[in-house]
Amino acid sequence: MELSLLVECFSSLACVTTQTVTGLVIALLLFLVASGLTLVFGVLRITNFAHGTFYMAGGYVTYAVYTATGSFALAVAAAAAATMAGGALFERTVIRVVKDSDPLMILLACYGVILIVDDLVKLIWGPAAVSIGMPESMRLPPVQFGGGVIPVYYLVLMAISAIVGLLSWYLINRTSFGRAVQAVSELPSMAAALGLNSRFYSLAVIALGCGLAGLAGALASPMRAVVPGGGFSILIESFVVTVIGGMGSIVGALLAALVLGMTRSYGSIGFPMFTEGMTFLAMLVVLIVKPTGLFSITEKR
Amino acid sequence: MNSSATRICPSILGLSGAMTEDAIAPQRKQNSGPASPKFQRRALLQLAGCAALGLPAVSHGQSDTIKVGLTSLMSGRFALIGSSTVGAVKMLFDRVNAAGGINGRKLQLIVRDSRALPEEAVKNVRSLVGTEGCSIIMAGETSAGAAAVNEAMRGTNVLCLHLLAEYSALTADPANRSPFVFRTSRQGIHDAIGAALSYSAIAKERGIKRWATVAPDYSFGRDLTEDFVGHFKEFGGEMNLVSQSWPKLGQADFTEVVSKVLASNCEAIYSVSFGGDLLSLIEQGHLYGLFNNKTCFFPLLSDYGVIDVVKQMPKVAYTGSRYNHTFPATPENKRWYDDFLKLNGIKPTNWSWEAGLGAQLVVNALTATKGEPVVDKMAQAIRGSTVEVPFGLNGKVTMRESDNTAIRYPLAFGLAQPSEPYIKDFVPVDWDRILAAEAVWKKRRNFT
Repeated sequence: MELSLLVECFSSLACVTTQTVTGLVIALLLFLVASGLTLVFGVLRITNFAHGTFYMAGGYVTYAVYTATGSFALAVAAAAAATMAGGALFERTVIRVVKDSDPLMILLACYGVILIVDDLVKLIWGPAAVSIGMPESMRLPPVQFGGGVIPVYYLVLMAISAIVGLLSWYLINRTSFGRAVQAVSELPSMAAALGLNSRFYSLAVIALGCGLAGLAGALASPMRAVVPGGGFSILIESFVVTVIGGMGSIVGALLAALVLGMTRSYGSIGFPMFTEGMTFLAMLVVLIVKPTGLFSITEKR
Repeated sequence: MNSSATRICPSILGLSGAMTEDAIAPQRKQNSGPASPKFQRRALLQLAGCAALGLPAVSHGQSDTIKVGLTSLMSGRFALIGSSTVGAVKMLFDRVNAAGGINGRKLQLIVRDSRALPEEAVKNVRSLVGTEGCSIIMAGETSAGAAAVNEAMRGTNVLCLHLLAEYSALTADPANRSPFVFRTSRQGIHDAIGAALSYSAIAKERGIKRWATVAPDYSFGRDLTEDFVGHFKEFGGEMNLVSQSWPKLGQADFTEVVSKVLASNCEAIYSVSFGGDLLSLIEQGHLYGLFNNKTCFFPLLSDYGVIDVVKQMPKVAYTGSRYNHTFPATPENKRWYDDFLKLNGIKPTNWSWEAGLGAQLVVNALTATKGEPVVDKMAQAIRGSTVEVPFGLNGKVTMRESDNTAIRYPLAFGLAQPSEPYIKDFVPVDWDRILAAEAVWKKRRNFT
């Protein structure tokens, strides 16, 4: 524990700025991935264990399109679209078949998809990590604020993550599509009687969830190595976010991601040997105090 | 039963003839419980089947192949490790087999994926020995996996070569040693001393005093960093350690590490992160302008899997000779590099030469025993030998007799540059100084 350093940091505007922005970036990117996971669970009651794979696939599609065209914006859009399409295919060929089975069967089916996609990217791009590097337009000196440092790309990333998060929330809570999805989720038989095609909505939700993961992978690719199996660590973190925030709650996921982001950011200064432990401790406390998570939708029902 | 027949039984039971009962027990327990009647019945049926078909009794000694088992990280984030390792072993074995094998016997390489899980590595080794009947095990595992394999191999009569593990205690600590277990990989302490010798001189020249370290949070990262810091000071380097970060191995996000290093206001960063982790550290460091006024000492940057891929190199980065086709600058080394690239479609890495050395030792040992995988004779042939390998210093690497560890392998340091050959002005480290410092270190640790 280096708590004196943490106190010292809190007394310095420069340190607070840098660490808070660091925490926000970690949180928002994590939120982008976890929101897809929680969305799928909230609607379909299915835990998509292959979610991290779509994050990784987003990175590889970005690498391929960016290398071919030189346009990062196009590469990110292509990654989101490709992972959405991949998600739809995944729902149609895997999830639809196993969704009513034992959870273990779903886990095994998802694990199969993880292995297949990992091997596919290894075959296409090789076993070594690939790097996109920061696009020229983003290679700018970091912004100085209150003596702290804020990377320009992180500002862009935070803005995109916040907008996408808001749009997802709006889509589910304020549109007829969202209402239909909620209806299918809560009372599938009644929704079917009213003419709602539940198969279409589950396909759409999984595609959207996977697209969010792919988008996060695309946005992270200029600053993180893109590597086969790279979706695994983000999946674990997304699960922690989802468990703390409450399975199915987008607002809960945001809040939990912020808790995790700040814990990691300030923890690296105050308790560097226990940052990871603190994350899981937070999860443990939430599970004991409120086993359904901070904002669980299952509790509401 | 005659001696030949006693070797058949375990073979048909799916167990190595060379294995001891102690080594067999865990495998048997795992498969079918102790002294399972079903197990025995199946074996008897197989024996009866063989007899009925009139098949000849085949022992390992008479088989036309010698099975060599290899466990490594073939999938996931660290798949490059497995590909580099298998590529090098296969390259040599294929060449030997194409030339007729060893005493007419072909080498058969059986590869298993450990998925970077120590328990999986142990399971692989047991299965390779017990089920496949491999007489030789090559462990292409990380330090954690190698430690687990080392324990599993203890007391068995199977030759084992650790190809990749760099943590020093694996062979430095007498408590971990076995007569038939060898290490062909670099040893962390040698690299730490070498880096300390080289980097302390550079730091003195550049007036660097404030240091930050970043290393993966497991035995390899922690030991190497501690040994580097200790020896750096011993060699007269002035080091004020202002920040230390221990990210998880395989951590995707290094943002908090970067901001911590930045806040420390250090003048130099020493990091033994590698592969995708090092790439992430560099890419995210650039976002903060971390490398604008800091000197980087990244010994593992020079691996082709990183230096070939990184888009923006830190302004000033010193590295080590993990593997580079220009060090040693010999036609043999360049040819080995070209052959590897042609055969595998990827450039050889540090793990490739380490595995290549292991493969050469296996070939040499089997040549010495005229193709008979007799463990004590193979070990005798390897122990203390000096091996001719294309990537060796003066074409050679020595397998030290006292602790079954490779020494005098290519070790040099230089300045990284963004294009081939990537390293400028390699300066080899004096191995006599490394070994002298290592002897002191061993004494201090009671590793004698």
